[in-house]
Amino acid sequence: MFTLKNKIRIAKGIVLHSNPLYVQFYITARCNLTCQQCNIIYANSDVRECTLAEIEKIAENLAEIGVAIVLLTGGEPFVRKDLPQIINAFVRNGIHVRMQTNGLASEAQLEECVKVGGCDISISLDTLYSGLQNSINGDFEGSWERAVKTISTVSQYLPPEKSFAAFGCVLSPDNIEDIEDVVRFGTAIGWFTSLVPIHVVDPRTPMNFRTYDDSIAFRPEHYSRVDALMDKLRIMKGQGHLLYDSDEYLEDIKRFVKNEPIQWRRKNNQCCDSPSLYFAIIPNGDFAVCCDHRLPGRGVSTFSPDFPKIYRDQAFKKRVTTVAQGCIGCMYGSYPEITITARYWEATVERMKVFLSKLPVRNWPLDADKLNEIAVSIRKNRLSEMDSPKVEEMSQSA
Amino acid sequence: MPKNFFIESIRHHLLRALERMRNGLPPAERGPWEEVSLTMEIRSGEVGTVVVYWTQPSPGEVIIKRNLFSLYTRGDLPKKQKVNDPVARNEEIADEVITKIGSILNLSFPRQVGSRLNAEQTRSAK
Repeated sequence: MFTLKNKIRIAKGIVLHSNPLYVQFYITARCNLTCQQCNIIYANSDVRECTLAEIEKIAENLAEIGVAIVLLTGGEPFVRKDLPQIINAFVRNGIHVRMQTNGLASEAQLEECVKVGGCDISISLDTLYSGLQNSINGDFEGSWERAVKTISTVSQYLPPEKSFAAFGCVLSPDNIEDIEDVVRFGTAIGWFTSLVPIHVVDPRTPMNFRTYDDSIAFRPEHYSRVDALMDKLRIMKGQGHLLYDSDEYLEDIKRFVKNEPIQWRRKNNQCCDSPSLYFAIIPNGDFAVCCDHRLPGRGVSTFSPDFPKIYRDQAFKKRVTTVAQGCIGCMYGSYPEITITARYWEATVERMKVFLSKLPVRNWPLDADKLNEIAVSIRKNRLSEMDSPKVEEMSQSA
Repeated sequence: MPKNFFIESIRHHLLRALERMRNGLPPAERGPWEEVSLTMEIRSGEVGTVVVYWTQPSPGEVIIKRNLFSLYTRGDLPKKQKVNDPVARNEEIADEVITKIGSILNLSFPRQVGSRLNAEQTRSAK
């Protein structure tokens, strides 16, 4: 799936911390959902979006500083009419593109994006219960069904033997009982699952990605259930279930939901690895420390011809590190996982296994009816184990 | 009901402006500003307006025109692209709204803002 050039960039980044492995590019703040845990669609609304010409410059600059992977995210990236051209700009520059969608991408868009070189996709899926998913997505009826249809479409166009597909799953008190099902569902169809615990922030100290909605935060009564879930997920992973998250990361989720200090930054003085291993770009092309923190003061444009020089400048790195050092820390999946992969050998080996070992058997394409059938059977099995009152809800939504 | 994009965006950018304002003050004078942050809400007002309201340290509201903010400027359609990034102007507007809230509540301002307000008052008195 990765080109040789990319593999070298990744290996160099992991071993030498010499080049950024990964960049999150928020290409738009526009979205067609209002998910309960997401604030970035509001935080990034104040800047204009880059034009395609500017994005082409960004792709060249990122290639020059050795970026291996770019995540195109939003908002909903597929609302941009020029997404295929954007993907192509990065692919042309030898950068691996991960596409992200809330599940509402159309078939024509997906086909076009795969055609220009997109072979890695992450779709938001938080539960196998349509009613709950619709509610998590901000009360948009039918959004779960649309996501399933998109999974089906992806399985038609992505090459099964040379692609990566994952569910981005936000763990909250609402879906804590459904996470195992999502992982089982993903495994059954050859998709990985990656977890991100919900991030809630006090309105006195706003952070760009984190919601202000305290009603969906974890409470002490959830803690033991989260602990048990993380332990179970580690066991499931050992049994071959397709969970992308490292053990180190899963242990930190336990701490994070209890507001205890997280540990993944401990080998770097409790600071993350922005900008050395990763950073973010906001829709106007300005550099950001991450999805939560912009650079204070005058912005630094990543499409400026000077960007590669600025990026390598020690004073710039110091400016970024100062912001990162003041952060309480996050559990946003990619940032912690890249630090963990680069700084903890056990995790490095685990991650290499994922990418170097043979991909799971994928009986693609899968039509939406088949996917529904698999989902229903997983829910049924689990409910029969639990003898839970959800049986009624399941039969209704099925 | 789905959240309203514009209301949530304005709320976030006003909270950011409140934080900027508060951080310019000595810690002992930040309390009332924090109370505004904790209790501030936004709702739609009459056509084209939003109402910013709060309950602590004492209730009040400010009505602002929604289109003062330039939000969600597209880059994928040539007709909707903007040459100038609205980010600085949006920040300025958010700061003005927060300054208005502070004036209504008679709160302490950071020195820079306070002297600007005093100069404006002096000018209008003349």
